[in-house]
Amino acid sequence: MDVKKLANTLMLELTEEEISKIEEKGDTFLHLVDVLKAIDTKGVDPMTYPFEYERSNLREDEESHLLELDDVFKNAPRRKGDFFEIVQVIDK
Amino acid sequence: MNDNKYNAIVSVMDCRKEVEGPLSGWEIAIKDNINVKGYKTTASSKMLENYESVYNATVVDKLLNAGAHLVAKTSMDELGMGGYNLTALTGPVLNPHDIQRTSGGSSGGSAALVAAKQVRAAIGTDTGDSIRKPASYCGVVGLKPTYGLISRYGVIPYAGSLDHVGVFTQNVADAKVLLESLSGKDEKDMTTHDVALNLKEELNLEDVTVGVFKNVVEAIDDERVLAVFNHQLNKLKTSGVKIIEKSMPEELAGAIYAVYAVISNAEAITHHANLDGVRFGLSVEGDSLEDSMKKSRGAGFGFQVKERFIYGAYALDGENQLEIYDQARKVRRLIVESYADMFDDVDFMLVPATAGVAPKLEEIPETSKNEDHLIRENHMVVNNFSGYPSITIPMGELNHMPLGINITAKPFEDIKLLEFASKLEEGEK
Repeated sequence: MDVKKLANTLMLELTEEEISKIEEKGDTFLHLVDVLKAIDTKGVDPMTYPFEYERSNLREDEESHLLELDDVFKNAPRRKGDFFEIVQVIDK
Repeated sequence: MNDNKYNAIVSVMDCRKEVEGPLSGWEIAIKDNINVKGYKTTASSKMLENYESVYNATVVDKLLNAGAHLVAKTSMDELGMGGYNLTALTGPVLNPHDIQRTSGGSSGGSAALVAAKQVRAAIGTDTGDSIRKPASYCGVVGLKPTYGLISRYGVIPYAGSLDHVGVFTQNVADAKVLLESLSGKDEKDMTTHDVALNLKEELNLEDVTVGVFKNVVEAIDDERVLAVFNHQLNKLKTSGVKIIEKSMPEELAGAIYAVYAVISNAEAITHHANLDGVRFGLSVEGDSLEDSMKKSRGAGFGFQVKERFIYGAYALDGENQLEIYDQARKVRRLIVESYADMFDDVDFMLVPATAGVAPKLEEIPETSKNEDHLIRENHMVVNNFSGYPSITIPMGELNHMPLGINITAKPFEDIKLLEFASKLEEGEK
């Protein structure tokens, strides 16, 4: 298990100590993977949700729930007008 | 409500509407992964430590419209990931029956407040057993209804195909009142149903057949727990209930936790991709947007969340998506089909909810590779795979600590389940 690579795909910074600890504990997870792989699933479809009966979840194409802009930005770390502000990456 | 001696409360609320309803006069606590407008919703994560909800979850609107008084947000394992409430940002929740012991998790704060009778009821969520396990440890009623019966709109998810909203109460009758108030179709949650519950199930114990989940019972090594469980079975037999043993193939029972570990963690990383410190949440400065996101997520999540994210990413990495993630979903189907077969000739399935009483905080077991350990500690998640309604109620005590019995029914037979649980509860008085 390449923990550093996986952390990178997750956009997740880990300390060296955390990486070592996960590598060590990952052995139990890999054992669980082996338990799964040992089961014959030929011809079995993956199950996604508990209930699989057909139904329509389409709703009318109308606005059903909206947030006021001030609510949208209420928890924003940085706001510039009607935009979330991020670190400058062009013409820095 | 300012009495926080069990470390169960993360914030105090005073939230109600001036309406009369079935929940008028009820003081209710809410797990802190459920949005209540104007109050913090942290999911016990540093990432959301200062997040203030800007809308109500559907379950909150339903509580308020039914007259409930919401009085507290409760501690939980970070983002719902854990069974002992050890990963909460505010520290472990203490068991009201013995503060040296865990409340269980992830809905530990909700369970503890109901056990301490500081509230009449509390709302929790259950992705693996996060209502039913703490209910057993704390000696209260914990109901996880049929999947989709209570809307999850406005609830911070863990794993969408397994997540349920449910309730903690001091008795089964209150759980029924809450379920009636909270269930129903919600246009904002596509997994909810248009199914009307049969509110008046007549149940004659002499017509009831109960299955005992043999794989689980055989994995429990504490004879004292089995003695308490068998005492309940004997009482049922005396009341005319027919009891038969039911089991699934050993290799499937042994894979229950493995399926959970893969599916829950894989789903979790997709659900939590939005926790990046840009629109909300902890934000750490960086040299670039990517650098800022990585630093924010690194600083915002606790170790166990990071560990589970790595496992989820591993299960979805390249060819692993077919070999591990899809394999887990296929084994999920085999387990659910086998479980459904076990219900062919029984009304309810019974097991001890936990393999022992709440452990002391310093004696909480690590996940091991031992098959019996994996079954006895995680068996209730089969009801999250299948969506079956499942309830834990107190069944007795060991050394003055409570133990729960877990009862499960077929999908949408929630009221029948509550009727049966009520008769068991009555027998305990």
